[in-house]
Amino acid sequence: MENEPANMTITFPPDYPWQHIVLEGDEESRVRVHADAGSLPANTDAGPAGAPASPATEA
Amino acid sequence: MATVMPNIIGLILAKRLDVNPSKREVSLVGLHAKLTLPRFPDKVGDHTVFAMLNGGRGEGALQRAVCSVRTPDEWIYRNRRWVRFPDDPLMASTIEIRVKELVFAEPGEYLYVLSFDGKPITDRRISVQAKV
Repeated sequence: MENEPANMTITFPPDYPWQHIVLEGDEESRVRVHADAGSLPANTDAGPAGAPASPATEA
Repeated sequence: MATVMPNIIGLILAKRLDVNPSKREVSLVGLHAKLTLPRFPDKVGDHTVFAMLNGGRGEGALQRAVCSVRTPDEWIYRNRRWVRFPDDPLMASTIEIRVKELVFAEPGEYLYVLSFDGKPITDRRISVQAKV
């Protein structure tokens, strides 16, 4: 995750009376789609690279 | 029959957020009341999660996570961004979350949870069903 507000907080169109925030990318999924779809239960791996081995509790 | 107060749904799922600069219109297209997949596990098609907020101040991590209602402490998907809210409690913020990599292992009831700085803002329960 980026720790800079940077350009992910944008206003559009420029004179709209609200702030528009886009979350895109940096998606982490613990479930995979395999070629033999249907045979793999959820949470059978440790998740994406860099993800904690145990489930997060912040959701 | 007793009446029960309805809840406001705080997170809206749609195919996309459409911006038409010439008409100066921002619209949600293709609202979802549930998700249907042909098989499991499978990836949900690209979609958007939308919310409108106000009153937020300061900066922190804005996170969208998905979990099964049976295991609410185990997220199966999330994305996060560092955001800064305006110092104006009257200014609204629209949140557009573009989802591309969400995979469901099995049909069931799931929670979409939006949180800021580690604290839940709102959530949305949604059914994921097998296409028949």
